[in-house]
Amino acid sequence: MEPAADVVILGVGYMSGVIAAELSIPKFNGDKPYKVVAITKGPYWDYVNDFSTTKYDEWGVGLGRKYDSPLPLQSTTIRNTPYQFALPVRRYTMPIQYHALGHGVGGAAQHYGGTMGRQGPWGYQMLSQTNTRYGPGAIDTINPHNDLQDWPLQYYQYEPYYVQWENAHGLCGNYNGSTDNPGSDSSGYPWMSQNYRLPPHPLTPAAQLFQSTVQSAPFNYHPFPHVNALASQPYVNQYGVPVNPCVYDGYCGGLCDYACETGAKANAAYRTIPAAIKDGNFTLVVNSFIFRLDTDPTSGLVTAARYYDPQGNVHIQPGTVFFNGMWGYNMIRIMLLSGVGAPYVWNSDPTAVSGTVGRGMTNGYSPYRGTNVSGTLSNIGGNAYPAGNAGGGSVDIYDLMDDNFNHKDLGFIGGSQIGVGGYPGGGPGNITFAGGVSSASMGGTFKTSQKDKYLQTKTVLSSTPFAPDLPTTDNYVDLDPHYTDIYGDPLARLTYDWTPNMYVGATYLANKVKDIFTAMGASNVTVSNTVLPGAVHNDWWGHHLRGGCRIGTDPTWSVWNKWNQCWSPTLKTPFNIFGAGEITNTSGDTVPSGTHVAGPQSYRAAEGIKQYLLQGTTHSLLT
Amino acid sequence: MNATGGSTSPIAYPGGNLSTDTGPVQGITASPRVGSGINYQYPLNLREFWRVGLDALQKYAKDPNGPYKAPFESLSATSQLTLLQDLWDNKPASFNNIRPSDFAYELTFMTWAGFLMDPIYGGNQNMVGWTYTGFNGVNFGNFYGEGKDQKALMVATTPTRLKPASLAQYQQQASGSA
Repeated sequence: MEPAADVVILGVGYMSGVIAAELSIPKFNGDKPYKVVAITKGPYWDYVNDFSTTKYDEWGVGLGRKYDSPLPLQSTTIRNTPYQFALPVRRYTMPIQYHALGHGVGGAAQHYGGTMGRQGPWGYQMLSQTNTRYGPGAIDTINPHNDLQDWPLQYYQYEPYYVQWENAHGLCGNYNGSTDNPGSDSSGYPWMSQNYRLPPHPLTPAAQLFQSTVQSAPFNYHPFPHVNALASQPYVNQYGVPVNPCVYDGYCGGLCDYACETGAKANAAYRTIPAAIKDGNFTLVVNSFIFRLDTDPTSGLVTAARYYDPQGNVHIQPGTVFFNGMWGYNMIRIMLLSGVGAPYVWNSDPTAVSGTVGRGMTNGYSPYRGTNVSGTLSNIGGNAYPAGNAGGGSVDIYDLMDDNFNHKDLGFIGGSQIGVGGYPGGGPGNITFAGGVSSASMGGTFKTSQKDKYLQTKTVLSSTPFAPDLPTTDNYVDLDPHYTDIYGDPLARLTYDWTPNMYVGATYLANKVKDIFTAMGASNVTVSNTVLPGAVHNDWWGHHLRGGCRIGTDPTWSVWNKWNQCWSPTLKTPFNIFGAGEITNTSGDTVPSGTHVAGPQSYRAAEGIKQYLLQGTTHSLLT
Repeated sequence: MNATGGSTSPIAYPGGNLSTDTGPVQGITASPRVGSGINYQYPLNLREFWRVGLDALQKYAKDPNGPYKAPFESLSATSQLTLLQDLWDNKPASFNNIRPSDFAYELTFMTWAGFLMDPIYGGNQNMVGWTYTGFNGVNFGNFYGEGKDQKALMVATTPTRLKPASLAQYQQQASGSA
């Protein structure tokens, strides 16, 4: 039995880092001596010693997955419908299961692309806005077995928390609207009370061409530099953590994202945990696998976390308040294994489903493969070998997203963030290329096509826009009845396939993007064959999960309330477990970074935990 | 099949149908992509898979009733290519109980990986693959004193060829010994 802590943090990724800094450091927690313990199954990577001479290794990183969560430890099973037998993911490789689970301090954000981007007001009220503008029942036609819900708070209520998140992690961008006027949306970007902390990275020539094209007639869109969390300048955050800037070595993205040897790539290891260690009453427990939460049989309150240390010994860590910062499926799995919260029970009749943990699963971004639009800019070449980073260089628009255009009779809601011009060498491409081979990848003629391919004399534009994946009662997570992790506990099972809204939107949006590429002067602008709903099926677990463990106003369909605090079993006493992550996002348009949308929730949870600790178990956070 | 991801048949498992109380189960068939996600489901580790696949490939090449009737290595380049295409097309009637196209994928993947991964793993000797494709490895513009700056290279509109450097060279230089 370990000494009791005030706050026990499960997993030490992005969100957990915020809780650690905000709750353990007296300057940030109201001068309290709170003891905070954080537990992670992986190591505490030292980016200078562990990454600087070894990360330039596509085979080791992209196939060997040397920095990632080992599959023999735990995996996830996947099926498309409730009528199928789910199969485990046994192997990570390109190009499908490219994004592995994070492992250790910093979590998945040790090796991600750094993309960010705030979600605008519409993303928080997708259901009510659609019903208002397009009529009640519109959503049910578009999304059979619809389970879309509004968030518990609106955008403007999250806005101050976005600012804290952005300052802590050093986001780079440039807001073109007026920070003084909340009513101004002249930039096409949701209103910001402060500009981003750091300036954008240098734009590529292709991005500048896109920018000038879409700003002009007939489009008159509102382009902005792609927002990211790869420090463009040295700076010190509010926790006193100094940050080194990006050196543009280009081993950053590609389909398999890379760890950062300078610490420019924001994550908990480089922004929040160092401050908790230095200034907080904070204990970090590494290489320790949390397998269960203990609960009190009468009240249902969580009383301790149990974990295996590297030797396999069981440790019990008691606490007053718990924060579930595990990634995605693991957040859901630990709750299901421990009997915390109400497990989702599927029924083929959508009105007969019950429970909330595992409900409302969507894949927020990128796993979809469908209608593509491409074109060639013959007068712009570039260096496609590693040079640059994964988040800078490009320009985006939100004008073809949210309800920023009239969707009457279009058959879909929302849209896509469209961007052009990332650094061609933002990530190495060899393992991606090898992983994508087909029968055409053989023979002398094909080999000739690979000569000097990194020395580009033209730029190929490519876009696969899609509308948001919407929650239904048929896409969910539960525990697998057949497969287990290395310790014998059931794996999480994903039952999921892409929903029609994505495809119907894609057909419309691809033609809009075609117009843009044509106006940019691209030659050979081509829209590929339309991919119909149901023609392609999901076969991986994705990474930008959204929903599955949602926050909301109602305990019948959400796990956490507006403070990211778990609804209690009795609804009488507030519950002593909080959680935040992309998996707690209620809904969203195709803003690529559900992480940025989850960020403010971690600050909400931090504030909620502070209130809970101050006022004890009788204080209700529901008001 | 969509070559860039997304299986074109519902997720599947070879071995027949399951039924449940709620109704008939969709037939389960293997998605034709070996590699990642849920698509590798053989009860073989990769070393065994390769042994099994190479044996099956050679049996197919030498089959007196087949089109080639000779060991693979003795066939002409054209015939070798055709035989490999047969694997992608699942033409062999039997293949040691694995799908020929699954082995074709692993073979093609490893061939290109062998050509393009860092030489520290045994392939791409003397960085021949990187020289061919114009890849830089770990030369960020000044490994050999070229004086190029990545901040300029990343926004250039005309490419600059860099002589590649390997991880071993990089580590030697970083430790001050080269």
